[in-house]
Formats: sequence, C-alpha cells, structure tokens
Amino acid sequence: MIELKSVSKTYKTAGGTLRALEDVSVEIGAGMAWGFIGLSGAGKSTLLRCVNLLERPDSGEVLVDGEDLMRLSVKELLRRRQKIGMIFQHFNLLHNCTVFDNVSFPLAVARVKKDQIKVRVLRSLDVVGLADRARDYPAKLSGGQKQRVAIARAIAMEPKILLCDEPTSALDPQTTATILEYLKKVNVGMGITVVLVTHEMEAAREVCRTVSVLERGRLVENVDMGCPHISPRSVLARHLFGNGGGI
Amino acid sequence: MTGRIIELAPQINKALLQTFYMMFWTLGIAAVAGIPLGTLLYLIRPGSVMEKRGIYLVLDALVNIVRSFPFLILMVAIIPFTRMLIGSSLGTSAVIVPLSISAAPDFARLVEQVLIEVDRGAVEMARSVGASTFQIVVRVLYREGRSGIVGAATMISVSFLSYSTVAGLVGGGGIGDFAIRYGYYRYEPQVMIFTVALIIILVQIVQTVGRIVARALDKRI
Repeated sequence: MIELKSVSKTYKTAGGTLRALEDVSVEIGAGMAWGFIGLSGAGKSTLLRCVNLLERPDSGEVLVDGEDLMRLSVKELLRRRQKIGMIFQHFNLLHNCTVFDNVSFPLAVARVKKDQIKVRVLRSLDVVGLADRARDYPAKLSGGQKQRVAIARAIAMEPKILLCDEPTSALDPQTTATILEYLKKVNVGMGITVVLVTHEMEAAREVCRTVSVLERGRLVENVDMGCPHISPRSVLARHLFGNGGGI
Repeated sequence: MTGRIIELAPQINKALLQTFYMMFWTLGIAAVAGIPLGTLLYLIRPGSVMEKRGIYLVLDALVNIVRSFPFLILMVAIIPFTRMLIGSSLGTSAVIVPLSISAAPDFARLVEQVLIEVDRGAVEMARSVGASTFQIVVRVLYREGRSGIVGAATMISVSFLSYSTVAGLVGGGGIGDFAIRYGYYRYEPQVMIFTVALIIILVQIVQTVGRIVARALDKRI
C-alpha cells in the first residue's frame, strides 16, 4: 500500500522556480498495477521517485504500508528502500560487473549471506530467462536483455513494490512487449505492486489496472482501465487515450 | 659512446634506482591522499550525493592553489616543512615531500573527473536499493571508474617522472639529475642523448603498462 498525500516539489532553476509537483495525492493498493502517464515534464518521474524518496518532497507525506518514510532516519530509510525495487529507462547496470554481480548488487548491499545470494540470483535470472548469461558482461547483451537483468536485480530482493521509470522507452516495440509481459508476471504472478511511469499509452494499457494522468505537476484524473468503456473526462486524458478510445 | 656509457653504468644504475624510489613513494602517497580527496570533492560538489557547497568551494580553491605552484617554487617554499618531516631538506627522501604534495591534488582532481564520468544512472540505482554513501563509493564509483583511476595514475607517473628531474637541485639525484650533471655540466652530449632515450623508454613502458591494465579492467565494450 502506497499513499502519497498532498505531495509538492519545487525546483530552483536558473530561470526561476519550477513547480514539478503540486499537491498530488494518490493511494495505490497492495498488489495493484498502477500507471502514471503524461507528457514529458509532467512530473511523473518525479512523483515515482518520491515513493522511495530518491526525490524528497517539499511538503506532503509518503506512506508505505502506513509508515511515513519522510520521518525515518537515514539508516531506516535505506533499509526500507531495500524492499522497494526500481527499474529505469536506461537499465542502469554496472558495466564492469557480470550479469550475476549486477543482480547480486542489492543483495550484497543488504549484506545477505554469500550462499543465499547465489541461490536468489540464479532464481531471479531464471524468472527472466537469463540464467545462462550470468557470467557475461552487460556490453554483450541487447537492450531488452539488459532490462530483464534489471528486473531480475529488482526482484532478487523480493520487494513488495516495483517502481518502473519509463522501462520500455529505450526499446523497440517487440522488446517492449516482452518486458511488459515480465512486468505483468511480476505483478500478477508474484503479487508485487507495480508502479509504471510511461508516456506510452500502450504500455500503460497492457500492464495497469488504474492510470493517473499528470499534467504540469498536477494529477488531472485517475482512469480505471478495467472498465469496458474508458471515458476520461479531461482533455489531456482524451488526447492521450486517443478520443476516449475504447479498449 | 658505448664505452663511456659502460663506464658510467654504476652511476646510471644508481640514478635509475633513485628515480624509481621517488616515483614509488610519490605515486603511493599521491594515491593514498588523492583518491580519498578526489572522492570527497566528487561527493560534496554541488548536485552530488552529499552536497556541501561551502566546504567544496574551500577544498576546490585549496586544490587549485597547490596545483598552481610551479614545482620548483613549491619545493623551495616548503623546505622548513620538509626539514621538520624528514630531518633534512636535501637528498632523495627529502624530494619525495614536495613531489607528493604537488602530486596529491593533481591526482585528486583527476579522480574527481573520473568519478564525474561514472554513469549517474548507476549511482541512482545504488541509491534506490538502499546503498549507503560508503557502499556507493566502493561498490559503484570505484568499480565503474577503476580503469579511469588507473589512467589517472599513469598520467601522474609520467608527469612526475619529469618533475623528479628537478630533484637534482636539492641533491635528490635520479636520472634527470644524472643527465644534467654529465650531459650538460660536463659537456658529454652522448651521455645526454643516452639518458633522454632512457627516459623516453621509461615513459613508454609506464604508458603501455597503464594502458594494458586500464583496458583489462574496462568491461564497457
């Protein structure tokens, strides 16, 4: 369960201040697949990064399972982050580490025992179908494979939540479909809450139950993708969904 | 020419050993002081992991000040300090003090640059899994920047091989000092040419070894 309450964030830029988030509130139930969509600069990535406090809001509350992360000590916060996985647009693998060492990275950070690490890394790599690439360096992998390694890295920690920051934006349509399949597997098969930031409607449609539409730092509306007839009210949402498009 | 060189072989040997001795300690001290200092500069620079603008500006200026001293002037300026540390301001060991003081901030600056080049995404990933600053430094920055750090050490070695030739002025010896004493003061151009050739070969070796090690450590391509 993730609750963002009246989250606001302002950046100081050379040309003045930029209101990245204005009074955004969302409640994401455990096990949900939730999307944040909007045009670039809408604040969706900033909002996502507020969930694990990579970005600290100026005001508001960030509650994960009822606990206000903003009130935790640094040490406590680092512990909580271990249970919130994250994947990125550019995969963010360590180039000088093998696939195995990339997946074991969060486990090593959390000081998991060596024999345990081996078991969990191989199990995670198995989930994404890359167990045979454990000894390779990322340079030998395709973009899609790199993102699968990143997914394995995230699930190796057995997180409750997986944050996805534009995970398919650097990939071709075919590879995108594969990655989205894995995200669904993580969500439905493993019961992990998935929060997906994307500007691609198709990706959100594929994975998410509910989508929050963001525009210039504000949450415009939440759209239930489960309805047979999606009827977004806002102009932006209608534009993003393509004329209120039925699925 | 060969005869004269063979005649001088013991002196050349001694000079080379002195040079190696100076290089070894200078590089060692520069690394031990420069790597943490460079890391600190990276960490506290504006926009970085633990930004401390004020301290950064002070350290940044300090590094620049030491780096702007011409080596010869620095060597003379810190003679009292050297004497206090080593007990003498003359000799090979005494030269290591100004060499190290000059090399450390150079090394620090290079390390800072290397760490800036490390993919910010990797640092962000490490933060997202709850890595502490120390873990980010050791497990991400040094691992991803290791070939760059080797490159920095190579550059420092080459430029301080050249600085160490000034050592002769305070009785530090070394191969550069040998070249001046025999090649220049005694008008023995063959000896000078031979010594310069020797230094060129030394630089080539340092550079080649550095490149091979850096390449072996770099798995990006």
